Amino acid sequence: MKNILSLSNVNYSYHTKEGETVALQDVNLNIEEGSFVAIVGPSGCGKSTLLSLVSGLAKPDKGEIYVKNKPLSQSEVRIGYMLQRDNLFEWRTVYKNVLLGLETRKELTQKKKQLVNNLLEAYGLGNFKNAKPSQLSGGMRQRAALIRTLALEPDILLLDEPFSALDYQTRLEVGDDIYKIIKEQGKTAILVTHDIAEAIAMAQKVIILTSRPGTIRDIIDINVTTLEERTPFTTRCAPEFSSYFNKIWKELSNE
Amino acid sequence: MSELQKAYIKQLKHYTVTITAFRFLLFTSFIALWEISARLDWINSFVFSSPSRIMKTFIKMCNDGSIFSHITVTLGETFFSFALIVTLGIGAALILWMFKPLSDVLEPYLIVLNSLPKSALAPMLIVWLGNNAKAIIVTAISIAIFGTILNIYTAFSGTDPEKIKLMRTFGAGKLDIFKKLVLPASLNTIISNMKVNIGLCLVGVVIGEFLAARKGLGYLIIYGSQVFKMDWVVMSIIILCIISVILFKLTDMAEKLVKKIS
Repeated sequence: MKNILSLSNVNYSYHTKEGETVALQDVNLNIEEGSFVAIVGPSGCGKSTLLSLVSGLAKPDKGEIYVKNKPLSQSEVRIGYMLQRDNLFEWRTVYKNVLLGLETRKELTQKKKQLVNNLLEAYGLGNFKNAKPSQLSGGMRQRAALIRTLALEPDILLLDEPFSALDYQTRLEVGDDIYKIIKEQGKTAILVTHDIAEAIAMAQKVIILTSRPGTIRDIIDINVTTLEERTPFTTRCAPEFSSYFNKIWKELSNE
Repeated sequence: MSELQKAYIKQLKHYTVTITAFRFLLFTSFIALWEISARLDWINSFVFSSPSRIMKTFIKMCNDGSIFSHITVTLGETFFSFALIVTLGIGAALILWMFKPLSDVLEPYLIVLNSLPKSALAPMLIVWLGNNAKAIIVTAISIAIFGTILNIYTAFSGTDPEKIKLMRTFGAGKLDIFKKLVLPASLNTIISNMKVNIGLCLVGVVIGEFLAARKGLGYLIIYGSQVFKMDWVVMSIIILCIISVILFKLTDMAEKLVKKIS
């Protein structure tokens, strides 16, 4: 498959009065179109920084990021970013929240509105269009946040621990939901998480980062045998699951 | 509804009624005591006035219409300075938020100006601007503006950074972030600030009228005290009380309205 995203020798540091923190060092990475990749690593290893760089919110100090073989700044590929919390605006209805990205980008056409309506219907929020975010459950809020991102029709989806604020039960459900939605939409997704099980459950490839300065320690392909179609839930029940878990766990603790 | 719930509701109602009754009692007994003390010459009604004298004065001034022009002037100045404070306060806070270096430069000055007893500025403003309504309005503004700017700016800069990041992922510029996120997120602070400000404006206007005015309740108070017309003074104070209650209620209603539509 074709690479949609490539990072070559990417370096990034934070500067504060107290000193310099090297967050990422010589990161080289290729991500295939349509794949679901998870990045795991100890906290503070620069996982989120990586997403900020890919989304273009920050620029690498050194190195290049290519999207479909073009430098990120010149690329036409659209990148959607889902943050840790849903960040729905309480003063907007669910519908208005979901349109926020389109509105800001001034792309609010009738066609896009139709797309958003379809997404809301398809993912169980059709009856909650005029509700306030506070009236939704944690899982529904997270789905609304995903639709807000999908409304912009991104080619690459960046997920920055989007389930970490949810309780365990909801987390499993929402993880399953969001995985299905992303697969249905055929998007490339990069999930950052500190939850090893979540990474294995959702991704085809798990990238392990070392602790600061973050650099790639290992890339593990996840191949599981599932009875039904592969979903995070069936993957968790797969026989290979625990050996993957142990392997990644060891690599993370052998720092 | 269960018996216990009924009993609870009944108790709650009883409490509210009792509180209202005591409030009313306090008011009427104060008025009654005041009137009786004046009639029986326990207090000198020339100095302390009395409810009946105040009513007489009020009716007289209603008949010749003079009280209305005083009230209108004071209210007009209050509303005008309030409107200016809202606009200037939000505008200045926006500029400070947009240009962080500017806010860093100005912050100590704003803090000094805010902690200064602003009524100290009033005499100077009157010398500068003359004996007119302009000076009164500027006095009222000077009382509330610095606190307003600081307060609203703090609310603006307290906006959730993750939400700002979200807006940036949509490619939003600073003005977009302000319109769609920062302003609506700060609305509650702005409104509670305005609730304080409408009162401060009234204070400022009265101080201004003490020093420079031919009309208005502040003028009536200071003039009345100079010519020993204590009825004027006390009546004006009572009217000011009523005005401030009404203004507070108005802002309260505005707050509820804004909460409803947002």
